[in-house]
Amino acid sequence: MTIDATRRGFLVGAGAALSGLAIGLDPRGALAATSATGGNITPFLTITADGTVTAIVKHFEGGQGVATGLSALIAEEMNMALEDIRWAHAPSDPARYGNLFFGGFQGTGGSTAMANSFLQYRTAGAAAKQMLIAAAGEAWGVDAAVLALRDGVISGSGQEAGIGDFVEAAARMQVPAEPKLKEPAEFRVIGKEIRARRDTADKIDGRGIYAMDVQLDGQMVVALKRAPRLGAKVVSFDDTAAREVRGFIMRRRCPPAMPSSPMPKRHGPPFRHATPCRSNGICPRPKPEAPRRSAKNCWKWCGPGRSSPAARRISRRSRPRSTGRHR
Amino acid sequence: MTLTLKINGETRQVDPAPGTPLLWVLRDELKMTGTKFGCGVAACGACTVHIDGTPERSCQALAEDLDGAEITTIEAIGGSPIGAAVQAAWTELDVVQCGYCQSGQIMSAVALLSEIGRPTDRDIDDHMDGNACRCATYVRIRAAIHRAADILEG
Repeated sequence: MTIDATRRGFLVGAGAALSGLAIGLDPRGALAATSATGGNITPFLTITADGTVTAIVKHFEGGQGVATGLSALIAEEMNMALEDIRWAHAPSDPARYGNLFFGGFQGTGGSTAMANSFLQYRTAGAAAKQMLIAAAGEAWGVDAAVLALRDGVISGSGQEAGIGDFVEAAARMQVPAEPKLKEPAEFRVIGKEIRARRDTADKIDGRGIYAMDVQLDGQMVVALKRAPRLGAKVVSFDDTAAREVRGFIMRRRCPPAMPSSPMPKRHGPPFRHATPCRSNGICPRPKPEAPRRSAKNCWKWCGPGRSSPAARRISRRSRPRSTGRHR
Repeated sequence: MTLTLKINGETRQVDPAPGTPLLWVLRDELKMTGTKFGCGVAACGACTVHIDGTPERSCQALAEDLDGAEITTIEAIGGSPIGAAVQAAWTELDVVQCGYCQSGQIMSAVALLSEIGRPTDRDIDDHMDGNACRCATYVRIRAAIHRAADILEG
């Protein structure tokens, strides 16, 4: 969970071993590889000269397990144990890391992370496997078809070596346009219950960086003083105590309150008319005559352009017209 | 005000404003962000650290009262046998989800196992009561504390 997510910082970090192999999308969306010395690519996976495979996770890991899920796709196609895959968050780069279900912007939500990435990451893993095996075949002067990759080791024709030995040669190869993916019957990782969350290590010894933990040079902190009542307007503000806080820089009055209904009207009528989402994730357009339904079956956020009933309910709840008691 | 704190075995000089809780000395001044801010009113347990071996909410402990105390945080808890066992159990059972509360959970779990080597479900529930987890990992936390007790018994 690095916070040095600038492109330069990322590539330097990802390609710490200069002879690394990185496979991902080029700006046109085609699978491409680079030696991590700085080609025009940001990857879905990197392999360093010591054979370390790192999944570059394009979705935000918020505990839902996407780091593990995307790592599993690479582990599957590369015939590795999930435990042996390392991971890092991708930098901000929608051209390469956009959510395919969100029209290209880089976002995570609505149970889309695995579904939109499923073939991307498997294809990247399969391409890496095919290229590494091809590189080994060339190095040993044997037909790549007799070689196999398993647990980071390429073997066949009486020889055996770790994948790290071949990353440099593989990085110079053309990426196969359509690498062969495994058949579901061959899966050893996908669909199996494996306890090997990839994000645990950073979260049990204090290393994990959450938004609140980001501390940049010269970072300023804003503290918001809220009105004691919903919908209240500022009449006066005594900043004497604030000015006594060490490091005080300035105080500003916030702009007028947010509009009472932040949800655009085009999202349809409010919850009382909404119909529940189906289990396939499709939310039928609400019909005006639809009866009042319980919220229980309708928690799913059903993709771009539609807000969930729960979100609408919450937004209604937080409108200033509420006169709920304030503690 | 200049203070000398003993944190994870190291002596650290800090200069917080009077009345600053230990949590903010750790996070802001010492950049030790493993200890989390959750509620600021000792209601959630995310900021739990050990002060002289006792689990305390660092959002309520004023730094100026801790002169000479031994403070241990999540960053160093793995250095003790119980801390290492708890981390191993946490890893084995995939306890963590978002993980924000887990620094505090682990600090509380280590304190429990330091007191009771073989806690019952009831002991665990009583002791871990003040550590909230919005992902609701409680069942796995309880299982992992039992597992850590197993690991410690060898």
